[in-house]
Amino acid sequence: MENRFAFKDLVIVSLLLLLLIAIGVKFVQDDRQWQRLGQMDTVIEGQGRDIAAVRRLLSDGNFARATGDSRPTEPVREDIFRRIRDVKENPDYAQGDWLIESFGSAPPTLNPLIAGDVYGKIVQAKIIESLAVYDIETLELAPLLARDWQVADDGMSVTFQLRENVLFSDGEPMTADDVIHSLKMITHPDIADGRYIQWYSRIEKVEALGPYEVRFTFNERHYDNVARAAGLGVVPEHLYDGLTDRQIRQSTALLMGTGPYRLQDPHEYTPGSQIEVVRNNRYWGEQPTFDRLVWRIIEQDSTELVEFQNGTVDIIAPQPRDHVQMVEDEELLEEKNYKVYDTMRTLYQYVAWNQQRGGEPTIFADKRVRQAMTLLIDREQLLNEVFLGFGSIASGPFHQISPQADPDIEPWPHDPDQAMEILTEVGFTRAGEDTPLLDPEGDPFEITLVYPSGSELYDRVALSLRDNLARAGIDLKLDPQRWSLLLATLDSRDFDAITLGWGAGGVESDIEQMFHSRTIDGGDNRNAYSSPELDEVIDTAHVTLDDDERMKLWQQAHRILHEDQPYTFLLFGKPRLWYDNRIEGIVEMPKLGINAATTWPVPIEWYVPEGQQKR
Amino acid sequence: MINYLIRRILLIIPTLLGMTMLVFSIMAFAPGDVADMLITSEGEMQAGDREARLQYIRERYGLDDPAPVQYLRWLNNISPVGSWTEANAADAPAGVGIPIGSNEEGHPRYLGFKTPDLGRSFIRNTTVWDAISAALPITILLNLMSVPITYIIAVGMGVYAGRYRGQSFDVLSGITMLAMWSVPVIWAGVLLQGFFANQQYLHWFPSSGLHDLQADSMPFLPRFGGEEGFQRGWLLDLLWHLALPVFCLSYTNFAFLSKLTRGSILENLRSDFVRTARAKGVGEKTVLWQHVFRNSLLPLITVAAFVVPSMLAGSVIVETIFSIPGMGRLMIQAIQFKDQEVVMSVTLVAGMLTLAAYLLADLLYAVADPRVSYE
Repeated sequence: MENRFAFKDLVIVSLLLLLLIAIGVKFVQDDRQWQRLGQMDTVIEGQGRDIAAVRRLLSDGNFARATGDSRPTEPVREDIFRRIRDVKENPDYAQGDWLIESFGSAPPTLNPLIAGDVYGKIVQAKIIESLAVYDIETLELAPLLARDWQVADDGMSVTFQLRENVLFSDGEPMTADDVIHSLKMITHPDIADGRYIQWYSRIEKVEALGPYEVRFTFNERHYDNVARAAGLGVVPEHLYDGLTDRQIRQSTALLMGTGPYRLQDPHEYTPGSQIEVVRNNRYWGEQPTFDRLVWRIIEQDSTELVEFQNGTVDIIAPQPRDHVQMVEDEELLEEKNYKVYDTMRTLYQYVAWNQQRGGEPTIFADKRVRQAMTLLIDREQLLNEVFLGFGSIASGPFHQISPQADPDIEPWPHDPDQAMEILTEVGFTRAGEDTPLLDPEGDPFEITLVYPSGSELYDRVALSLRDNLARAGIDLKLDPQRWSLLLATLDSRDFDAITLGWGAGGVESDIEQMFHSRTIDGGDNRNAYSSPELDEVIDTAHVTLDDDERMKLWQQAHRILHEDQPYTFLLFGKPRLWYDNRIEGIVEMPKLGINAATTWPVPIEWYVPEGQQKR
Repeated sequence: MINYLIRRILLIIPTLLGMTMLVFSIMAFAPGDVADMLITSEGEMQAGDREARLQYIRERYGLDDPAPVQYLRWLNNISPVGSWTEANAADAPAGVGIPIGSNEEGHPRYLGFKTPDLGRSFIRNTTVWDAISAALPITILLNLMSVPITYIIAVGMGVYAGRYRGQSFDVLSGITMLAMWSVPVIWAGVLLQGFFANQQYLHWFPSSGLHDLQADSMPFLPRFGGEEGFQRGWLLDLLWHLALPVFCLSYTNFAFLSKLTRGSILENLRSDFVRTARAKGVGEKTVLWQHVFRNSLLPLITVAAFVVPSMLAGSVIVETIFSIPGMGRLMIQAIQFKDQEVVMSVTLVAGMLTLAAYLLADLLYAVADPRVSYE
């Protein structure tokens, strides 16, 4: 019994373990201190540079000009900061506090040259500015980094005059060279994966006319040209100095700009970790309210809700079902507030009827059948029972509050009798109430509906559609598919019908991608809808620069789509926003929803009165 | 002993091969394509551009090759011996070896020893190694905390239940443990979060994440006194955040381990050497802890090997509920997006950890029980 493990040994082992743990903890502590020191160094270095710059200005005697009020050089166009300036006049306005939001999944990269997902874009919008942006209220382009611009009469070029007092967040000035370099980088075939190349393909060239003047020349006339040139995010040329194309492509951060916020370290982002941007003290424009914006990565809806109740997430957009419960929670309403609003940038749900399969036209190639399908579907019921009333019935791809929509179009009604009349006309037959509907060839009419699996909402939409069609004797078979499989199905074009959502995108949405016959092969027109009339309207709209005229064309497109029903447009969602009571200044805009739309770059107009600030 | 060790370590290689091949085949047979996943989140594109981009991604990641070729290429990449291409002369060489010609683009190829390359994550835009080395310490931390807690509580309860068999403590603990064992982690996690981390009920614990939002500006160790009174500090904040997840990881193993302990304590209590010890007047405490307990440890060591994989599996759920960026979350996300290289590497790492645990358990067995020898 020599090797007996006695109490003494236990003590020794425990002490050794404790020592090991202590050493480990000490390592972590030291590591943390080093990080803090590094951050301090960066801050001090930056301040040193600022002081040197101020000294230089002082000795040049330019002090008064450079730091003087920037308003004298304000452009003649609409002032993008007017709304936040107004808010700052409020007696209880105070700068400070943090704004904490959550993302449902971690953006894989924040690198503006390669990030394609919406979360990455939300973060970039606070850091990188473009030459001009759409004003959230007037929907007109308003100057940001540019003071002013002139569009050539033929619409083939645009010249921007840049502001001269703009610094990147590291203190370097922004000039025309940075603008030119930004375009070069984002359309660089070895870096940008080609994804932005298409977006900017109509820009023939961009040239500097002076240190603060650039001209974009286009190779094709298009209504969106000026907006795309103006929307180019300006990144600092010097950020990429000494980096190879490969290093740039593989970096997850490299995010720096002139905007109101900056990353602590523009080179550092670990996917999956919480994202924080801090106030850019060198910002040229109106300083934003919040000291810091934080995005936490929370995958579970239930976790997000608890975090919101605890006040560790400030704003959330709950599912309809959660929203209905939250509205009845008195205790919650004491501390939180909510808004349900309309925005023309919202998602719409649709059912696409495939008109061509294996090169053969399907039964849905007949527009009467598609119309009958729409007439059979009770969208009112779908809206109230599945979406709990949060939405509005869609009559086409444009939201009814969008100027692109024809206000006179009423959505097709729910009218099964009329639908049956149409179907009989086409050659469908039905013997009686309890018998299946037979197609013109005498077979029972069956449709397989493909939709994304794993979502309760989609399950309920599909069941509702199945119920509607069953009343007409149509057997709607459900085929829920995992997202990656569903995409493969879409690509193969091997489906009867599919239900999905589509985001309406920017201020003006271009429907070419889904409905132009050019996009049947390889594009998003996967149900092979083709209308020469619509093709022409879309092509004409593209080269019509006058806004009013173009809106008339979009409205015409709306009428064609309403008549043809390539999709059964189900409904537009109505987003919900819940926020902490302490946040003031959240208001609804006429067309674009809440006044701090996520991807809008201008400083947020929200604020927290002093005394209520938490951080 | 050394012989045995080498044999066991060599056996790990075919086991890992089989494991990764199985996972790879499942992924290869599953429908869907990572190339499709990658382009879904992108903006508006025109006809033709989509096809061109799909092709580009497939080529870049070699997704066009038949599945066995992809698997062999992956094996070659992760192995320390194999062939590689020097795409960029400026980069540091990947290893030492002899040149064996060049690929289609004219880059030289070599055969020899090299640094293993786990590849790049399709969706995270980092190397798989970076993704794993950020996530693995967190999962290990979780498990390092929950394994001792599980063992101390379960073994303690098991010993007492065995000692006082049939008495109220035994019955009560048996029922409670069994009840806890039957509760699925995913439900318990959400309930715990809803009741113990919610302002409307008991807000004793933070609801998710690893750190407070302001943890960066906290002192490292707790501080008392001063103007602000008690400050919990970074370390305590971390432990506080880990409390609920660690409990979720631990509680399911309580029942299993304590029942096991109780069983073997009972068995040993009835054995001859206990009767002898009691007969010669050894105190009841000494009998229990010195004689019975030591002999009852053996089965506990054996099952320690099984606790590790079950905790790795458990952390998949726990990390998702509590938003902890560990291996479990990495795995789930990679599977959702068919991020092949990450799934393969996580399988590899989890497999290695599990096999290492098995090996360690077998070795400990020999240490604890003089009758066991691997000579």
